[in-house]
Amino acid sequence: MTEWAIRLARKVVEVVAPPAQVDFVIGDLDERFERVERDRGRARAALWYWAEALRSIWPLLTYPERWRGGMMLGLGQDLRGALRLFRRAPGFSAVVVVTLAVGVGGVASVFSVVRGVLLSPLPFEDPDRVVMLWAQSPEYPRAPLTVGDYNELAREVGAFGEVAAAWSNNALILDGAEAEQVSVGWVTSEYFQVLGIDAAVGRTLEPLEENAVVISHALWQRRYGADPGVIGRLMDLSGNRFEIVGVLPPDRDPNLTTFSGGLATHQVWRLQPAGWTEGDDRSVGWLRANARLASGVSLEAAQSEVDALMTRINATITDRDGGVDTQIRLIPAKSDLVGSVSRTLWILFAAVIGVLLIAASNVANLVLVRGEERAGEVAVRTALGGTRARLVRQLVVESSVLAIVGGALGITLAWAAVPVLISMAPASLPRLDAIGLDASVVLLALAATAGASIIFAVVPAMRSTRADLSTVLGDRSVTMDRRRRSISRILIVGEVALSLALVTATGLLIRSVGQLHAVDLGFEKEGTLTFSAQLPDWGDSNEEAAVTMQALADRMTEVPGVRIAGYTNRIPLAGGLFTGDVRSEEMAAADVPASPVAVRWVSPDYIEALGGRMVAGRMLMQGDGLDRVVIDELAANRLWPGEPAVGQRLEVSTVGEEGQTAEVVGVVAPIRHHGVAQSAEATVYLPVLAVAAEQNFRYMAVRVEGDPTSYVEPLREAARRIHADAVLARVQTTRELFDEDIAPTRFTALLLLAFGGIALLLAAVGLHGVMAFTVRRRSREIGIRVVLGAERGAVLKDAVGSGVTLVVLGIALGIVLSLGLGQILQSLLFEVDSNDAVTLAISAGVMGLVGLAGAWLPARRVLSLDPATTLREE
Amino acid sequence: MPAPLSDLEVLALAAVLRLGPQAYGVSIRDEIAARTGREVSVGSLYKALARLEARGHLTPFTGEPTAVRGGRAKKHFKMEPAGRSALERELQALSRMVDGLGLDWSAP
Repeated sequence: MTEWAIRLARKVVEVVAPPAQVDFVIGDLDERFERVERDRGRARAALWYWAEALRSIWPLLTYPERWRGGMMLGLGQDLRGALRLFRRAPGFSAVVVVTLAVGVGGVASVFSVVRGVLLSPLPFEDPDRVVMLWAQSPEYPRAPLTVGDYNELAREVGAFGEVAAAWSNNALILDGAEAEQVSVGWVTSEYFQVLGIDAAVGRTLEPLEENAVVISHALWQRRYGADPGVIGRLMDLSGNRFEIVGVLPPDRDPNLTTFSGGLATHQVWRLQPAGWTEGDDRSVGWLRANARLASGVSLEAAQSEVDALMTRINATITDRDGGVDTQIRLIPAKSDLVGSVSRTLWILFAAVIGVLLIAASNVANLVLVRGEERAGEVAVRTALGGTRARLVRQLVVESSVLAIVGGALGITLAWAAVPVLISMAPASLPRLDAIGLDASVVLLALAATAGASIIFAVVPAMRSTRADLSTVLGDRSVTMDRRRRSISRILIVGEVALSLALVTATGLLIRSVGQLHAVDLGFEKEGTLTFSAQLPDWGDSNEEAAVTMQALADRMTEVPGVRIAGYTNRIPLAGGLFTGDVRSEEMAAADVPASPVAVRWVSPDYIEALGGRMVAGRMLMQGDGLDRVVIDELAANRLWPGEPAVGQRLEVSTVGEEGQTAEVVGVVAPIRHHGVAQSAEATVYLPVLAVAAEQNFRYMAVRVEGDPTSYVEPLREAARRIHADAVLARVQTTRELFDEDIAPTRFTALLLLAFGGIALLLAAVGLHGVMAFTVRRRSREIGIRVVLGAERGAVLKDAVGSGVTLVVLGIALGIVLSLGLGQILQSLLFEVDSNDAVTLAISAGVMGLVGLAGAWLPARRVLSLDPATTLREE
Repeated sequence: MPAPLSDLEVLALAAVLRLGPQAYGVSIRDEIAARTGREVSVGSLYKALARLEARGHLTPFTGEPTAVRGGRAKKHFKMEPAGRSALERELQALSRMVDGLGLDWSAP
């Protein structure tokens, strides 16, 4: 290691020093090095050597007369030489350039995603000081705050500047033009100060201004044609009128993370009625709270102040949604948004750097082999008086030209690949708009190119000029310099190992995607369309609203091909925190505390419309009140293990409501509410029609014959027959819900597949190149053996042998590497162990076959030649 | 009036004068380090020596290669009369600058 460091430092000095002074300068350095080594040890001396070399670069480059005469002229000569190289060895040059371009392009593309999503700041004022406040309890790992806790935080915590909260619903914009569903943020008046966002036109909301809205720049442009006169106009939101007081700046929507972890998509912001956030109610958590840290206060200090406050509060209360030991976590707004994807992106970035390393070592090998082929030329030039520094420089210039061309091609490749990457990316990947090629990406690409060329240019250059004159010129059958060959071999083993690790990671991800496809979701993936249904007015009483909902469903089922239509407050895989507590009547009698359960409000036809399965009993029926419920198997097993649940009675309370008893009329198969990879939770299904007027969300599932997407327009028309301004929004088939949910894993798998494939190909090319050269050098020996009657099989085995050894070594190292990296990968996997033996075995097998082909093909080619020809060649 | 010398050039000239026939890169650098505490990099020193050489203050000659230097020769320097008078000129200038200031000239 130190030996290498010293040699590299010496090389630096050799290159920068004026040719006439090189020997004196190096001599002085080496002489003093001996002394430093004696006094301070080898490692320290190596450091000293580097310091000395670095300090000397500038004075040596500016040495008097340094650039007068030959130098620049020589540089031009070298450049011309490099261009000649392209003409003389176009194949070699093309392989080097393309290999490098693939590596650099990959790194630049993935980095542009990493930079856009993870590194670039949120578009707020001093965004690092904005924190999200989430309640954390044994019951909920991340939940909205109760009003009581929110008020205490806003009042008591000195570490906060402003504290604000948001809530949201969907509403229809009704203003004569076609009705449009928008997501509305209900915020407290401090919200815009927390984010430090001011209006671009007009102003933001003032305290108590409950009949005003501000709108996003995008909505302003799309719906109002960017008319500044929109300020002061009235906006009808689902029947309520608001004055538009402001338009926000472009691309700076004050949206933060929602409960489900995605970015809110509000386009209209209004104030929450002041009464909502008054008092000390702790029965239901619903506020998405956020705060700006006071200046000079660290996150840690703020967190400990909040912890202390919560501990004090918890000692005084007897109950809270989420429990009395709830704590509140301060999470910087950006980490909260990108936290879930950051590991995936860094892993992909590491993978693509692996590809770059493979590419660079491949090129290094090619240059090494070429250097060997050119040993004769180098030797002749040395004999004619070319200095080593000058020869090194020529090789470095040649390599640099290749590197620059490769790097430029790589950046072009990234420029073309980034839009493709964005279009492939899962919709849940936040901040897609921040992704693009910018100066920092190009800079990184250049750094990657420089790094790669140091590996592939300088190292072989040092080796090439070492060729001993007498051997190269005198004896034509010289074998490869042993040290150079060992570099080649190390590079190949490293390439194979890295490729195997990448292929294994790819295999694990692909198996995860397979496992995701095999999950029983509790409903059919095909044949159902889902959407959020919005009417300006459903009716004031529960009876009226139930009639409207039923009428809408009836109009829809009249559409030819529609089988059945049902309602829910949240379709599956879409998250949503609708929870309550449940216990059986027997448990209630024995005073067993109720346990948390997911709650869905559904209409009688919903389960069938979704393609769910009844396991026992019947579905809810028209006219069923709150005293009838359907539960899923998980709830049934929890409440009455080993007994039939139908006919039993239970006590259920939704959050913030009194508990009531109800009879279980049916049991359904568990449905995954939160995601394909998230196990189903025990659920109680309550009759939505009994409380039809009190719903914030009405989603529908409509089961159809044939392709669900062809029903979107007919269903819209059917809805308009109930009300002209009816809107169906967030329209998705269940298949699309599923695809979107597993998209991150598939995206990762797809990218890794590309990287793994490229790595495999590069490793094969590298191995082939080195083997082809080794075998060709031995073609004379092989020819003699064949002439003397050696069996071809034995000769072939012998020739392939050294390549096989390298592949086996590489695979062994790759297995170790894969096992080591598995832990990092585990969080991306689904029901596949990161040390999965089958995947590892298959990857090793594939790698082995590819490696064998790389070693065997060149050997066979030489063997198939006529020995007479190969012997005469020498 | 010839161009003034840089301080490193002054130190290098003085070192060559003191070292006589033993003056080459390493010994000059050591001399400067021992007497002033300044750790001059090999690059800076060679650059300074090259400028002195270009002005005719020093003449280089190649010494014997030694094993410890990996068989590389030493570049020795011989003081020329012009170098000596340049050094004197610098000292006189400095002496005139500080004359009567009551500064302590003596080395500790």
